[in-house]
Amino acid sequence: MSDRGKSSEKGGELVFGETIRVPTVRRAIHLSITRPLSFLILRFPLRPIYAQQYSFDPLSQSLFIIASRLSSVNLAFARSNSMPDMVSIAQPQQRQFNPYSENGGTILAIAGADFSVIAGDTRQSEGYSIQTRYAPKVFRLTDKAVLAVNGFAADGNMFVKKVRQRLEWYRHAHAKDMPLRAIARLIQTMLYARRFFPYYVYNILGGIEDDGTGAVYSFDPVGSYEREACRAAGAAQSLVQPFLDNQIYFKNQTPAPGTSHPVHLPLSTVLSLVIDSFTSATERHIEVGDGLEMYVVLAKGSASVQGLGNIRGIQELTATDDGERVFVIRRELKKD
Amino acid sequence: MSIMEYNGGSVVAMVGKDCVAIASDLRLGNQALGISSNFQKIFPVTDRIYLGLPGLATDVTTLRERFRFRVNMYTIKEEREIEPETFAHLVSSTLYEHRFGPYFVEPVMAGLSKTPSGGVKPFIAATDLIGCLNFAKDFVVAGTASSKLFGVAEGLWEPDLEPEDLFETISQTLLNAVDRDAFSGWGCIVHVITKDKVVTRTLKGRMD
Amino acid sequence: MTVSSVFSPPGFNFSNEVRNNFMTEKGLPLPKATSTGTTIVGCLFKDGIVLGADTRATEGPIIADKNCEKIHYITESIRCCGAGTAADTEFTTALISSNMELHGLSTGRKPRVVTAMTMLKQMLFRYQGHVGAALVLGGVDSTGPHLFTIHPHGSTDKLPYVTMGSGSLAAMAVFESGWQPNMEREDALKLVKAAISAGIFNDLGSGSNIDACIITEHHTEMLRNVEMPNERVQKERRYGFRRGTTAWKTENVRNLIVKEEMTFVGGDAMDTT
Repeated sequence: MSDRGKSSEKGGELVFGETIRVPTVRRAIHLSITRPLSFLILRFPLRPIYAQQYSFDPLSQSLFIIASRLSSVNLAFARSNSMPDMVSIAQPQQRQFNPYSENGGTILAIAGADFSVIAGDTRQSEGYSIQTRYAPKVFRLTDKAVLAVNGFAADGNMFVKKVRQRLEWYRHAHAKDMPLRAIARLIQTMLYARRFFPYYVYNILGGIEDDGTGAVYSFDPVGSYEREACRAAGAAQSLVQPFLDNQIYFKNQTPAPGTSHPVHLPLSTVLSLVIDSFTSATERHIEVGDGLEMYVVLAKGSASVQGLGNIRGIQELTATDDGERVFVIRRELKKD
Repeated sequence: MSIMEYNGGSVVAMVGKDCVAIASDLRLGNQALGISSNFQKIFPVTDRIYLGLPGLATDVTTLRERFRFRVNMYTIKEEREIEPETFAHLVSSTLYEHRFGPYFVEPVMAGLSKTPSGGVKPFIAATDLIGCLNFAKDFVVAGTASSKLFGVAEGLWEPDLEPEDLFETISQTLLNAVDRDAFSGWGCIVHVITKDKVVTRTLKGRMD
Repeated sequence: MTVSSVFSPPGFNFSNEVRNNFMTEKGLPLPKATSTGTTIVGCLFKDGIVLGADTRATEGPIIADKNCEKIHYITESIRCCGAGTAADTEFTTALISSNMELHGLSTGRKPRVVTAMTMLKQMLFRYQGHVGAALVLGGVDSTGPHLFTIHPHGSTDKLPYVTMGSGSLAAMAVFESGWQPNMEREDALKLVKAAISAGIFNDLGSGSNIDACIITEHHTEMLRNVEMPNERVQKERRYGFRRGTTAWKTENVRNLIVKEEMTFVGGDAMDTT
């Protein structure tokens, strides 16, 4: 992270939220120029599309790249007529609008042989404050696809809205739901389209492939993705992922002599592991808690449906007959 | 990259039934470059107290010697072995003395203290780099993989584990946590301390 | 040489300062110490003071200790809640507690709350805010009940109800709506519990259990974990491993039992009569 920050100062890659510094050695020269102007404000206008602007510094003959789409940089000099003439304290003032924030929470998805479980907590926070105890992070897209979105909540909600819009267009054009692997590729292109002003979200897509197997796709904010059996993301990713490595992939466990580890776990086991992952994360991470939503997607004719009948408070969300089925299970988490 | 991540390394300690366990990785690094796969971070203080020192390697070595000196002085003056609770406070005050120029280590202690009835009571503790003590009843963690260790330990730990079961739980916790940490790993060592013996094992795991 | 290595002067040791500054200049920033995002409160009632605290200690967003003690002992009838840098609150209160004991011994009187307050503020002011302790000090002495807040730079306030820490606004909201002069003991305790609860549930830096301490002229009652509203629910699965799950390379057993065997030489046992 710090490496990225450094490269931007050297005029390399642009990083959002980075303060663009005027080198201290040039302060005196700036002042001598601005002095007769009594006060001076340079404001770069907001542009409707993303563009890089170059503020030309005639003194050092150097270029500073300024992120302008949302962060309009003001170089206001804190000297005015009303202030006493104290040249020594007058310094260039910089203001910046930061278009991103981080809203905490954690998501997680696990693929089974013929099902997928996609889960997320429902707390939304900023700093030390809880904004809401119920803000869903997991969304049903179709009967066979569920998307979990974590990171900057505003970007996440807008992203889900846009994905749903594209899926509806697809349904109108082709009279069927988009296959899961196609949704995954769609999400990649949608994310990469915003390569230089990304949606600040980590996505995990879970569901059923056309061949009836459970699948999980995980994404980074700019669209790099991969199909996996399990993935955690968000604030407590570092707490949950190694636990899942151990319990889902049986990492570092030697099987009893003459036996081998199962490739796929039954749905009941997966649900238990998801609940325990979230209660553990709630114990040790301040941004995780309040509520838990677990979506279960079953392949057509999956036998796992038997085990779901006796689960407390389960709700079916399936829209079409004779295909994949989607359920949601809700649980309380600690609220401290 | 802060000083705490300069050499890497992690330690975890857990309480069991009449036993405690303390485990660490064996990596010594120079930022991302691995230097040694046999760098000990856990040291015996007395027969029944072990001290883990993850953090800046130069301070690990310095403090090990400092604590050896101070424990020896205590033993000579008091004519008895130091108790784990007392040792924890010795560690704490040594670090707080350097409040404004700290040693970059987060010590973890595990030991068995004597009860008035002649039995033993498990004891674990950890401090931050300026000596704020944390007495936990279940487990304590420290080092570059601390958040991973917290997550796995919170999932795997159960109360009243027998020594052999505690060995499995602490080993699995450490192995899986360090496998997700770039600055820890390269081998692991586990000490299980019981009333009448200390079992030390080096683990087989990923070496990347 | 031997003398200098054994002698350790009182106060802080700055011997690592040069080295640490060098490393900072080389681009390795100093790590932060455990900071307690906290809710601590105190309120006056008819016969004395009630203090309250949550029990969460954090390191950034991670909970380092789920049940730590934030109400520190100063004297039998003076206690002090601490927020801020955890180690600083711990050691500052311990030092002042020690000095208060000595002060009591040398004057032959029960030391007063203002004495503790003055000692604390003078120490914190001397360190110009670098000792990051934010305190709520309360107690009863010969001049009656007193309640203070002490900020890290050494400023103090004397008020009938006070809150501090990251949950101070949540807790103060409860006090502002519920506190009245001359409250009964039970009502005051209930109000303090409500104030701490507000911090626990609405501030992410505070959590776990409620500690309270009721100080009256002749008795101090420390109510450790007076309420535990955040116990972990039972896990869905058990995570014990089969013995032999972890593969290991080497084993070393250090036997702590010294076996003693008596061998009598000369056939007959020694006559000890």
